Amino acid sequence: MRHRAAVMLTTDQFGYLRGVFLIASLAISLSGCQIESQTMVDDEGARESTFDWRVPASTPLPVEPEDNPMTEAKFQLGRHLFYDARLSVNGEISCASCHHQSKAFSDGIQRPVGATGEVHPRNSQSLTNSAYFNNLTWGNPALATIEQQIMLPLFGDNPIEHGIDESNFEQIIMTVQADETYQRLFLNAFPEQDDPLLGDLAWDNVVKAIGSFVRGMTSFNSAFDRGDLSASARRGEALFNSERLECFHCHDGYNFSDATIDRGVSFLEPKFHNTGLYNIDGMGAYPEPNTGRHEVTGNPDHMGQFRTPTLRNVAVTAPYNHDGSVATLEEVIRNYAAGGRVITSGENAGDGRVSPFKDGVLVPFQITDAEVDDLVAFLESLTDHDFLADPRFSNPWESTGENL
Amino acid sequence: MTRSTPHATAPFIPEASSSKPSALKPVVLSAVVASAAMLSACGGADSSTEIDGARTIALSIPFAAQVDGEAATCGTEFQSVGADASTVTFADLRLYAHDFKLVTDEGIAIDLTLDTLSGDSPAQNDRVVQLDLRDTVGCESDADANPNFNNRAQVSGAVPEGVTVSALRFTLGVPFDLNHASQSDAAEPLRNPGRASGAGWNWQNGYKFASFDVMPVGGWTDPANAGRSGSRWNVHVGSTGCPVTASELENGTEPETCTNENRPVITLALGAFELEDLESGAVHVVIDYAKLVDGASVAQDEGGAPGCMSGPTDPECEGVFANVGLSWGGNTAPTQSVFMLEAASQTMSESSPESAFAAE
Repeated sequence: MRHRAAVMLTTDQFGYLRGVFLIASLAISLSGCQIESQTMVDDEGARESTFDWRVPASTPLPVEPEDNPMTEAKFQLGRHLFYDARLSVNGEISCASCHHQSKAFSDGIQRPVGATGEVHPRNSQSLTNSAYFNNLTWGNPALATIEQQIMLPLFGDNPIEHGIDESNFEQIIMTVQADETYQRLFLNAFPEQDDPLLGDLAWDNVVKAIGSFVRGMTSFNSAFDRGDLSASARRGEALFNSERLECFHCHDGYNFSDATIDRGVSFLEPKFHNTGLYNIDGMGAYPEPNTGRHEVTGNPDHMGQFRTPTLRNVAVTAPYNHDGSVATLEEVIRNYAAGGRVITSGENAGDGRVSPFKDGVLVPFQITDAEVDDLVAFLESLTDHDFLADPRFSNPWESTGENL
Repeated sequence: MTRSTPHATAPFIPEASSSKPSALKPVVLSAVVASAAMLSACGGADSSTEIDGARTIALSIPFAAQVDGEAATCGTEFQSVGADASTVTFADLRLYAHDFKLVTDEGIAIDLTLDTLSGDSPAQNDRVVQLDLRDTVGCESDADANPNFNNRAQVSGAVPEGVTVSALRFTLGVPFDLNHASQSDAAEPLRNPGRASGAGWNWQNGYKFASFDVMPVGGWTDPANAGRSGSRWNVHVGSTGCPVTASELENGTEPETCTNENRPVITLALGAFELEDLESGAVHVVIDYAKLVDGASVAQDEGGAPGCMSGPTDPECEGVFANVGLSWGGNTAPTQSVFMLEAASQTMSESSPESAFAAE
């Protein structure tokens, strides 16, 4: 519980510190309780890792799965696999097809299309700081690890994304096995295995390596992090943290999400929220299959509940919300200001403002056009331009022009 | 192409302990006279110990899919299926089963110790069996022959000699701990990709316990929504409502059980059959698709996933779940009507003439 308290205090500090994170402020503002918590976190190896996480010293490191600890070699193998379209039924889809680095690994369209033409019901989500989420994707409490999540796009059949199935998986892994680049990368990544590329665990290694690459996608170098905000962005930050707008209630902490887990948080209750985006039956229903947490749990009270996404790099991940149905940040803000979205026509018509499942924190607020601009300026200050162009996350095959 | 087969169909019985003894016809194994002392010594968990030291009987029980008594082959059009008398072809015919038992005339359930199979990709391990009833990969009519299919998808194992058996019992699905473990390094038949390719139930974190998918000719439509239609009508049975958070896993905490486990226990009375019929493969377990979708319109879908994918609010699941003996929407689990024990002679002699299992 002390760990949780430490995070909560960090959260409460957030907004006052404005980019000057914990370590810098410890000396001047923190109580003994917080210092004790900080010490405990250090005692538990919160900063210990053989992997270069590129996370600020003030930010806790992500959790590493016991069966897949981070290494640079796995990260680099995963990077090659992430950008390799041979991992698909027809050689046309790689992870990067729907996760573009320049868009913080989202894809800029409402809903992506899989290798065989099936349209995904959900918007491609940014992969920024995936390592810090307690569950993966827009609204699935059952997806606990990145490795679990990766099984879905690669091997899932509802919808088909990469389309790897029983008729082609052996052929596809043979293509990978035949590539000299992979022979070296697999050996480096899994030195404890006799034959990580040709052996029984080849596919498992593919999953673990891609998981390592995605887990390594940390992003903490925005203008906000540097304390380099315009006057407009500073006003927007104050609005963000105001009791009037309440943005920070869900988008809290260093990753701007209440679904954040790290080495200092030993337990986190599932955090999902209905934001009044739909109400198609007057009783709060969301259009199928995108009923969010409810889709997995079947609990009627979970209708329309989705996990709070990070706001880091949010300005480059349009369109917004789980189904990409909101085009701009301004539109997102105005939906919140209204206390929900009203859809006046079409099959999804309904008044989300009066949904019985809407999170209680979402109450309407007044906001001027200038304030919307300020809030957008603040959200834009969360863009880590280095992350969007860092060669570390770029396509390693690009020099040959193959396997895009 | 409809065949008239004189089925020796055994009626379903519920849990043996609650069934009428008169409905069960005890079968005494000829080799050894059943002894009450041995039965009690072998009861429950002790049976596996006993089995190591005692003589055992090897059983081999084939499974087969049918449509109204006709062998369910891939690429074949079956007519008059479901409440709307649709014509369908199959797209998937697979299931997992575990906890195989033989129930004695005294209602004691004796474990069937599953054989360890050789080969790179065995269809069963010591915990769970995959029954792949398709004769081509992906059940496509033009696909290569299914390497997993040998027309005798079966469970094989051993039970101690000297038992008087009245029924065969098994549980549909994958045991909880295996269902929620990593799939990419799982032991076969649970490896994905591998035998479990296409059997992943990953959005719910597990496996499809049964996948019986058809393509209705002309596709399916939604009678209430002209904009909804599709080509594939699926029956996927699996656990739902299984939230497992990363925090729980990282802590080593036992995951929550699922809201709907959806693992029906199937008990099939031997009826007129004898235990030695289970030794010889003369009896097989039949899954009849026509009975699975009895009452459902397979060219229609009124909401939720197309067909029944175990969604707790999917309207097509109410009837399908009832047929397979599962509770749905809070109702009491009815008696299943899909699984039967039948004489395997017809199927085995026709499609596998060299089979040692061909009955007289």
